[in-house]
Amino acid sequence: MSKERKMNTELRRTMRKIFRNPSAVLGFALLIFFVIVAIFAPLIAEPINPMMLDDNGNPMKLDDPYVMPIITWSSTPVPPSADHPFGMIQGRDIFYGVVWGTRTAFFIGLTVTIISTLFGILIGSISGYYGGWIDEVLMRITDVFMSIPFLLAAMVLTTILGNGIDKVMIAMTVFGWMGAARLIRANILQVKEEQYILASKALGVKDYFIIMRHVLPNTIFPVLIQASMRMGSLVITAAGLSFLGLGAPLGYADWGSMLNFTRNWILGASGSTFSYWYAVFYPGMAMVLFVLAWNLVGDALRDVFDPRLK
Amino acid sequence: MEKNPLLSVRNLRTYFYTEDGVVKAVDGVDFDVYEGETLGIVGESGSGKSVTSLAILRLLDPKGKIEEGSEIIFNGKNLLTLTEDEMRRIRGNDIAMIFQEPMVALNPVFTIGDQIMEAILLHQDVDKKKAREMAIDMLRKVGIPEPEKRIDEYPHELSGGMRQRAMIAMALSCRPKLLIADEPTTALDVTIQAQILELMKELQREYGMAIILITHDVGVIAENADRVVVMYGGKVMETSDVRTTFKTPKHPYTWGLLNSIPRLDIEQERLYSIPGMVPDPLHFPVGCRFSNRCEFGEEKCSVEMPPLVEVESAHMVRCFFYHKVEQAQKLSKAGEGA
Repeated sequence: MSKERKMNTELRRTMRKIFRNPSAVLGFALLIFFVIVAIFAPLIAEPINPMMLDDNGNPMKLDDPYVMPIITWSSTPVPPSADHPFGMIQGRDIFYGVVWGTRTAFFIGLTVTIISTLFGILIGSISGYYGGWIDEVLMRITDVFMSIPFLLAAMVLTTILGNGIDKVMIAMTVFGWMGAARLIRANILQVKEEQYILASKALGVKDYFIIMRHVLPNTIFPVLIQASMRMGSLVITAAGLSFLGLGAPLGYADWGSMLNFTRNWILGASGSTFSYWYAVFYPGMAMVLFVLAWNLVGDALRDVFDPRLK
Repeated sequence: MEKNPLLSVRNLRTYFYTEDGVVKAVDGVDFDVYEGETLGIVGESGSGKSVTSLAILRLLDPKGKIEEGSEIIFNGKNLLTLTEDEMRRIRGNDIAMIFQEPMVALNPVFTIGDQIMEAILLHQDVDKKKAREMAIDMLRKVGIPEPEKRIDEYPHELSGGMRQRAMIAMALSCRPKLLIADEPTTALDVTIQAQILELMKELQREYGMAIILITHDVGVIAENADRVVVMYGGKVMETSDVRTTFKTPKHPYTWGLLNSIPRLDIEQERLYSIPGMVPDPLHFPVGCRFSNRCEFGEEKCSVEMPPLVEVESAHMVRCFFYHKVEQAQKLSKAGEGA
């Protein structure tokens, strides 16, 4: 049918646009790479503990694959070798941590972004669509949340709630929805004056459907683009909190807490500054590339969807 | 035989409460619309004609309030006392509206079929397949070629005239009893304008619906309306059937409007224009709202608002000195004859 054909040409045009832009290609390639690593983590880094053997003499399966097993008793970092390509730190395999940390990064990033963006969209669209005192009240609440420095607020909240990845995620969601709310409100204020909104009201369409069918499709893309960019920065923030000791528990496969291990080794040994480079480099590089991937993808989406840049 | 009006607007007052003060956009408007007829509302920008139409559907933005004592009786029901839910069932189903700018009155992210089907699915108990058939039928009726194909096109793929046709299809898809057309052809070029008005007339004959045609174009009213309401400064200045008003205007404002139309049959050095500007709605003159621009006005006009009086059968005029306009009209007729 012609409708399907139209969708296809539309999709093909969008795809062509993305793949003509080298930085977009790089972004999507990196993202796909991380997705593959996350999906096949159990194959890439088997969740077993070689130090503990079961009755048959095979290494035991880990109860929780996200808790990195201790595989050496060396108190100093061990440089990369054939068995442990990224080296070892605090008795744990860095390669294992980086691979399973990818899953943690996706988990934190996606969950926090989706929940906080949905919440922001809800608040922002109610605020923008209804206006008046509802708008006033909701926006002042937003202002209150925005006025508290994010890191400080997240730290205070995790202190109250207790340590742990889930607590960090709660803190980041509670203090992370305001951007989306403001963005969607501003867009709705603009779209709501359009005559097709009035026209659909004149047809007797319910408010809920007007928001869902007529307002949001015309306002949602900037928010989605912002969300994809936030995916990356959220992982940095989570890592920052982990680095401060507020996030993941000790030994959890998370890039931030792995950097926490390196605190004593960042400056290297006396006389040779870079002797423990691998301890910082691999988890750090994973993080940098992850953030880069999301930013490039966000840029690419903006180029494709923002009509002002067409 | 006296018919009951389909819609009666009584003492409609719509005020906007702004930070600078109260804007009395519509201030005591009365008119009736009968089944199957076309009522033209004519006036300059800011005369309150669009606000009147939005008030009928209760679609004013939150700053605008319909004041106590106003009545909008449709089919025997006062629309102002209905709940929002009841009102929603009337919108689109019994009273539909089309807008000035077909370019922006359709949602750019949906196909026109989606938007027409939305209206049908909303008010009629049919499934999607049937709604699609009805939408195609409707598009054929409004003269869109190849409706089976066009139904899946987006608004930007259609020309202005086609879009206005699609808007009309959308508005008429539930066969409303009353269609409010707010400057339906103003944004279109003249040939398309004539086609759209002709289409509206045809559909009116077929469906027997009433139309409120709102425009600032006196020519459009003269050709398409049965009766006319002339509005100025939120008040009705003159109302009668079209022929009477245009042949023998009795209000100085109507007279001025008609004189400012270019004519081909007489030689004119300069086109007549009504002196002055539309008054700021925050500072209307105390008496007659037209008094500061009126050529026939006297002392009395600037202190007292003239009442709307019936000077002939079904010809109402809001002016103390309408006989002066009659005289001026006779003089200029005589001048033309000479």
